[in-house]
Amino acid sequence: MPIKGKPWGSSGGMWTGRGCHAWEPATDIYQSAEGWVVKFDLAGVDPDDVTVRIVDHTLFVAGTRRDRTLREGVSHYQMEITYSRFERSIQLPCDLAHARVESEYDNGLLTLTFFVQGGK
Amino acid sequence: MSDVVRVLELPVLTLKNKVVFPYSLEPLTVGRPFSLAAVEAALATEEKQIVLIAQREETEDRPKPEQIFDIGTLGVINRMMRVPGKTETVHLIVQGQERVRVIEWLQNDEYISVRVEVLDEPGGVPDSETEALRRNIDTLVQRALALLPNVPAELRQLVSANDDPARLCYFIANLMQLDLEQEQAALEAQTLNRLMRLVHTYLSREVEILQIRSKIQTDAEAEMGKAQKDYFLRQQLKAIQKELGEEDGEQAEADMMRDRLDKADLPEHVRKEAERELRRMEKLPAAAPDYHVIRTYLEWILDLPWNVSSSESLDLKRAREVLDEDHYDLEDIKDRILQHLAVHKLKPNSKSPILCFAGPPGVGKTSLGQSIARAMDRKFERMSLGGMRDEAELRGHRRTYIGAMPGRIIQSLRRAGVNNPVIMLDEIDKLGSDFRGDPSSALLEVLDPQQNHAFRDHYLDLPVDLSKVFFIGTANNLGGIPPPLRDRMEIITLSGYSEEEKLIIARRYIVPRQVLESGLTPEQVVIDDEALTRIIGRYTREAGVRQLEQRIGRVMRKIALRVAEGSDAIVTVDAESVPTYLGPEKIRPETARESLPPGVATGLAVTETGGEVLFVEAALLPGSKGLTLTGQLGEVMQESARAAYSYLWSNGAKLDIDTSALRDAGLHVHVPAGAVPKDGPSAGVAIVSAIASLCVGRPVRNDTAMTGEITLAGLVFPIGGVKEKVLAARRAGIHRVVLPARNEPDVEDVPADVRKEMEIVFVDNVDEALDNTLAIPVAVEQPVQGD
Repeated sequence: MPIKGKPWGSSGGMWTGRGCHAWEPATDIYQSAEGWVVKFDLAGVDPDDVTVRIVDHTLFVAGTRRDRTLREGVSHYQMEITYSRFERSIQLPCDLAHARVESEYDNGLLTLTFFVQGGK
Repeated sequence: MSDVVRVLELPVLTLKNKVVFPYSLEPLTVGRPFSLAAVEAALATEEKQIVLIAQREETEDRPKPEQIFDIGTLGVINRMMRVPGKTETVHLIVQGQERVRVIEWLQNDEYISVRVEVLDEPGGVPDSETEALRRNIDTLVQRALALLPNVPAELRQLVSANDDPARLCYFIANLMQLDLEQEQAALEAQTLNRLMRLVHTYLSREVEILQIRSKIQTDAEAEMGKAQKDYFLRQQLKAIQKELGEEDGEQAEADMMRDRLDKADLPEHVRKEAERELRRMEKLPAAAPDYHVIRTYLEWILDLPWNVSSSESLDLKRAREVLDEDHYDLEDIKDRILQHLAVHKLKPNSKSPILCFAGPPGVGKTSLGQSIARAMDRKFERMSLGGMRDEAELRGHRRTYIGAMPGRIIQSLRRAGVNNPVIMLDEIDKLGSDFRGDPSSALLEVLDPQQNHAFRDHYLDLPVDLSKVFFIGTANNLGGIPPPLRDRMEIITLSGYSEEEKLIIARRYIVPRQVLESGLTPEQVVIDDEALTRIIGRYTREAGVRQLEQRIGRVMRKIALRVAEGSDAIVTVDAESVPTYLGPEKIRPETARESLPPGVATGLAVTETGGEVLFVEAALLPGSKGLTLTGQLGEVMQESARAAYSYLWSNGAKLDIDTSALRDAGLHVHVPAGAVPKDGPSAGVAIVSAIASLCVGRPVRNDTAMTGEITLAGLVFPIGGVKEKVLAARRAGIHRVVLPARNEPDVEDVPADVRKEMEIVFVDNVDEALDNTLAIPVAVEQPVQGD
C-alpha cells in the first residue's frame, strides 16, 4: 500500500502539549464583508469532543473522532477513516481575540464566523 | 511538558527488524495470528491506538515479553485493508505518536497487551553542544541530499523547514537504512543531545558511504561510456560492411582460418599452438592490433610445408646426365654429388649433407646448386647471405615486435612449399656481424645435421625440421667463413678454368645460350675457336666465365642488330673481326717481357679472379743504405723480401755471388702494379732471384716464371694455387715455371694438355732455384767478355 503525498503529515502538538495527532481536518476559509468564515470537515466527530481556542491571530481546533460503530460481533473489514485525535491551527491576518465569533455545527461541518470591526 | 504520567493499557504489535518513530507514518503488513489478534483488538477501540515495539529476535514468531524491547511507540491505525487470500493478511498504515515504556506485560491467550507509560519527548536544556550538533547534522543532510539522485524537491524543503530538532532526528533516522539496534538506540535516547549525537554518527557514516558509492558510480559510468561508444561505432561499422556486402569480416575470416587449419596437415604440437592462437583471434575484434599479428602468424603456420615433401628422383644415371648437361668437366664435384645421392638412395633417412662450394666468381657455384636440385628433382631456393649482419634476419624477430617476420630460412621454406628443397646459402663468406648479433652463429644451428631437426625461429617459436633440407653454401674465400661454420660443411673447391676449358664451355654452353638470348638462330652465326680464344684471352680476365659470357653476349647483340636491319647473310666471327665487335683489346696481360734487365724477375700470384703474372723489380741505390720496399706490399710479403735480402747477404759467398754491392748501396724492391695491394710469401723465390740477378749482373730468364716461399736458411716452401699460377704463366706466354718441389702433387690439378706444353722445374732450395732462374748464357759469356 504505497503512501502518496506527505509521509510526515501532521504538525507537532503545539497546543496539546505532548505527542502528535493522527489527523488534520480539511478546512475552508472564506472572506466576507463582515470578516472571516472558517469551515472544518469534522464528519463523525461529536461536538462535545471538539475544542476551539483562539490566541491572537491564531485559531486552534482540536478533538477526537471516535469510532462509534463498534459493538459486539462487529469488526473492520476495511478502514479509511482516521479516528483518534485531530488538531488544526489556522492563522488569519486579523486579531481574532477581539472579534465576535459565531459557531454552527451542521451535517458534520463546523463553521466559525468571525465578525471583525471594520471588515478585514 | 506535562509532569503528569499518563498510563495506558493497549494491545502490542511486535515488529520484526523495524522501529516506528514518533511522527512517522509507516505501512505495515500483519500476518502472524497473534499480531492479527492485537490489531483486531486495537481496531475494536474507539481511538484505534496500538503499541508498536520491536522484537529483539527477528526470527521469533511468537516472542515472549523478555524477547521484546521495553521501549516502543504509541501509534494510531490510520488505514486498514484486508488482503484477500488463503492466509489472512492485513495491510495497515500506522501513525507513530509518542514514545512509551512498558510497565507491565499483560498476558492474554490471543495477543500481548501491555500497560505503558507515555514518555516525554527527548529533552534537556539546549546548550552549545545541541547547537553544534544541529549545525553539523544540517551540513551532513545537505551533503547527503546532494549525493542522492532523484530526491524530490519536497523532501529537501521538508528537511530544511523542520525546526524541531527531535522531530528532524526521528525523520532522518527513519529515512536512513539503519539496523535494528541503531534504530532502537535512537528511539530510546532520553535527551535531545544523545539523540542528536546518535543521528550525527549514523548520518556521517551514511554520507561517507554515499560518497564512495558516488565515486564508484562515476568511475563505472566513465567505463561504460567508453564501452558503449566502442560498441556503437562497431555496430555502425558492421552495418557499413553489410551494406558493402562484406558481411561480418572478422567472423568470416576466423571461419576461413579454422577451415584451413582443419584441412592442413600439421604435426600435433603445431596444431595445438595454432588452435590456441585461433581461439585468441576469434575473441578479438578485427580492430584490435593483436588480431592482425595473430592472423599473420597463423598464415605463416598454415603456409609452411610441415609434412609436404617433393618426391625425389634418385636415379643416378639421370642425375649424372643432368649434371653433365649443365656443367662441363668438374668431374670431381659431380662424383661427390653422385656419391651423396647414392648414400641417400641406400639409406633414405640419412642426414642431408651440407656442401660448400668454394671458388672464384663465375665458376658456376650457383648454377651447380641449381643442377643438383634438378638432378635430384627437388625444389631450389637461393638466398644470398652477403652483407647480412643481423642474426634476426636469419632467425626472425619475436612476434612482440611490430612488423615481425620469420627469418630467411623459414621464408625460403615457405617459398619452396616443400620441406626437402635444396637451399643455397650464397656468399656464406660475406656474412657480416655487428652488435645486433652474429648471423654465422645462427647458421651453426641451421647447418648442424645433429641439431637442425628442431630449428626454432624466433617468430614461429615452434620447432621446424630442417633435416630434410639439402643445404649448399657457396663462398669465394674460405678464409671469410668462421671455423666452426666451416667444420660443419663439406668444402668442395672449384678452381678457375683454363683457357682451353673456357673455350669448351664457351662453345658448348655460352655461345648457344647467347645466340638464343639475342633472338638469333644457330645457323645465322658462326664463331670460330680463334675468335673465342681471342675474346677469352684479350677481352676477359677472370677465373670463371662470367665476363666471357657478357662479351659473347655483346658480340651476339651486335650481330642481332645487323640481322634486324635486314642482312640475311650468315655472320662469321673470326679472330680478325673480334675488335670490330668488342673494340680494341681490353686486357693486355703481363706477358713475358721481351728482355729482362738484371734485377727483374717474373713471379706468379693468385687472386680471386685466378692466377696472374707479376714482376719483381730490384734496383741498387748507390750511396743509400738498407732496404726499401714499394708496391703496396703486405706485411708477409715485406718480411719475405727482407728474408730474401738477408739470405743473399749472408750466403753470398756460398752461392758464389758478389754481395759487396749490397753492402755499398741501398736496395729498392718494387712490385708493379703499384696501386694493387699484394701479400703473401709466395713471391720469395722471385724476389731472391731479382736481387741475385742484380748482384751478379745477369738477367733472370725471361721464359721462366717462378713461385715459392723461401726461408732464411735457403729452403723453398710449398705455396697454394699451383693450377692457377701455371695457367697464368701460360696465358702470359711463359712456358717454363719454377715451383717448390713439395708442390709436385698439385701439378696433377693442371689440365693434362697444359702440362704437356709446360716445362715445370721443381726446386728444393734457393740454390737450385737460382740455378734455374738466372740466365745461364750470360753467365757463360761473362768470362769471355772479361777476356
